[in-house]
This record gives sequence, C-alpha cells and structure tokens, in this order.
Amino acid sequence: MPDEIKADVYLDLSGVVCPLNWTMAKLALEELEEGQVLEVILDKGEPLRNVPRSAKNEGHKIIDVEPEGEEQYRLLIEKH
Amino acid sequence: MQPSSRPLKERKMQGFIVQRERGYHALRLRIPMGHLEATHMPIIQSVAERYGRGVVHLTTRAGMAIPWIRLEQAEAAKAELNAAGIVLAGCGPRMRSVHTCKGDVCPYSVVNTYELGMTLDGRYFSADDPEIFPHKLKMGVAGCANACSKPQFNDIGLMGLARPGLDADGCISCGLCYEVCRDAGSVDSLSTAWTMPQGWERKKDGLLPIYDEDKCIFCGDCIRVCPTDAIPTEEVGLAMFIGGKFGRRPLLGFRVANFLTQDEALSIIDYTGRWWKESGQRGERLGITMLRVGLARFKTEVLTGASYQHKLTNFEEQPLGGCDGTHWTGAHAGGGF
Repeated sequence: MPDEIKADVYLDLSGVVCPLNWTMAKLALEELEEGQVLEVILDKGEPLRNVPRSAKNEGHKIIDVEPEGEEQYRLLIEKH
Repeated sequence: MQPSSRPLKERKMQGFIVQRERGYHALRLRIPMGHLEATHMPIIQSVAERYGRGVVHLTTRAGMAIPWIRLEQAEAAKAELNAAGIVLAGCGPRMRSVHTCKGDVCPYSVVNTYELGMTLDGRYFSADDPEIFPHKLKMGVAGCANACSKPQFNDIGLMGLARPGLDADGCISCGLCYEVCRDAGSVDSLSTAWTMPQGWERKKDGLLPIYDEDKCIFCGDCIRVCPTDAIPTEEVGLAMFIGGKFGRRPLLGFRVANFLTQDEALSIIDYTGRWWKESGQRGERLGITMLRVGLARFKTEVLTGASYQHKLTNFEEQPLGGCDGTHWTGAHAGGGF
C-alpha cells in the first residue's frame, strides 16, 4: 500500500462498542464523496471483528490496515 | 370428542398441555424455527384474551403457549387458531418443533438455518407418521460455530461450518485474520488457527499467515474480516451432533462428523431413527441408548454411508464421547445418566 494515501476524515473509535462504532463510521462515510477516504481507529476484539466486515458488506473498500500500538488498528476505508 | 374425555397422553400429543390448576390447559402453538407470521399475532392475542387470561408464554424453544384455557373451551380455541392457519404442536413421545438461530439473516451464519429447518420439519415433523422416532426427539440447527441455538443440546444437532482458504497474491500481510481468530486473546491463546510467521511485526511485510486446520473451529470470522478478500470460503458444510439433551442429566451431543452435505446429514438422521426404534428402550432418550449400546456399535451400525466416511470423527474412542469439550469430539457433561 502506498504510504501517501491521506484520509479525508479521521474517526477515533477507541472504546466505542459494537454496533455504535459501525454506526458512527457509516454516518461519517455518508458525508463523504465516492472515492474519499475515512480513517478509523479500532480496538482489537469485537470492533475489529465487526467493523471491517460491515464496511465490506456495504460495498466500501478497505485500502489500508496498520497496527496502532499493541491494542488497536488503524483502517483506511474508501467510500464506494 | 371433548379433550377431557381423552387420555392425558393423547391430549399432550394434540398440544393441550395440562396445568397445575385443575381444569386448565395451555395450548402449545406450533411455530417452526420461531418464525411467527406477524399476521398471526392479532389472532393469538384475541384467543389469549377471550379464552385465557391475556398472557402468552414464550417457550425455551422459541415456541408459544397460551395458558389458562378452560378444558371445555379448548376445542373451540383450537378451532379459531386453526381457522387462521395456526396449528397446535404436540408434546409427548414425538419429534418437537425444530429450533434454530436466526441464521437466515445473521451476518455470521454460513448456512440458511430457516431453509434447513424447513427441510427437517417437512421430512420428520410433518411426516405422516408422527411417531417416526420412538421417543421425544429434539432437533436444533445453528448457522455457525457460535452455536447460539445450542445444537449440542438437541438429540440431533446441525451446525454450519466454513473452511477458509488463502489467496497468496491477494494477501497484504495485515494480520487481521490472526487478530480476529476466535480464540485469540482467550485463555488458551495458543489455539488460534491462524498465526503469523516468525519475524512478522504487525507490518505489511509480505509474510503470509499460516493456517492450522486442526485448531480451526470453522467459524468464518477470518473470511469476513479479510480486507482484500484474500481468504475465500473453500467449503461449507454441516457439523453433526447426535444424542444431546438437557434436563436432569445433561449430555452434549456426540460430534460425529464435520462438513457433511445436507443430503448426508438427512441420510444419517434416517438411519439413526431406524436404529433407535430397534435399539432403544421405552422412554429412553437417544443419547442414553447410544451410551448403553455403545458408541462404537452405533458408529458401525448407523454411520455407514460411503460418501462421508472421511468426515467422521473418532467420537467413539473418547471416554463417554470426550469430556473435555473440544470441538472434534462430542462431550459428556454431568455425572452419570
């Protein structure tokens, strides 16, 4: 993945439980134009299990995945 | 004929369940898979208000019962329900309503539990001979390894499984498959099916994840999470549990096979029913018959199909089918039976 991808919106979902985390990400994605990128911070466990799946289910594309410390991941989601 | 003039057993088979209070019965409604047509709700409400006391009991197997029906009015209440297309579900020594999770709409489910439940219902519950099995028999279906509908506590339990593959070209080495692997972070964290190779430092460095099928519970989490869809579903099939029950002496069903096709599972149920009618003693649940006669004998006499021999587990070699609750064997829960 190219490192130069810049997110259009940043959303820190630390400590936000399912399904509220996906709801917030979805609302943020609705504000974006197609092709724009949302950056989210997700806790390991249930959030990591659910949010990427939901994003894929709704047709969005996960274009990058990076660890964020030991307990979190950073995802770049391109709106489709 | 008024229900009061029938023997108690016959009334139970008809769906009139006797109450503690003399003269009252509960009407048990047949709601396969817990799928209640919304259009039936006003009729159920009306019957409960006019014949009963305005309450409906939700049963543990996602059914419904209308209590406080006077025995002499039971036939009239039943007729009103029947006219609306709602039928009563029998109790007693017969198959009970199929119990499933919401696996027709659940994002985790890998099989359509409603369709599979309808198939079981049509073949065994609605069959002409209601005594197709010699004693009480419960069937349960779960759409995935989460097992929300507890198929292991049914005499016959089926559970959807998904086997993951790996498309090396599509993999970006992000490690999400390993992170979400169901057992990651649990007490036994060594038991993840997906691991990342030595040298992987949670970076996208081209190192491929390693899959160990023996540790996999086939839940499909990795398939769903993979950001690049590099983990395809290689195979979908059914795990089969036989002989489970709850009650005073619980038994977990013996996990006899994995990745069965639907036809293979139905064939095993057919053979199991025939075997149980011949081998079972009066009032004996299936799992108890299996333990009394012997699991090895059950395996040789029932699990004979050529197509699924390689899918069978070694459940019969475990003491009481395996007491450790591991996923490859049935497990015995509770002392004695």
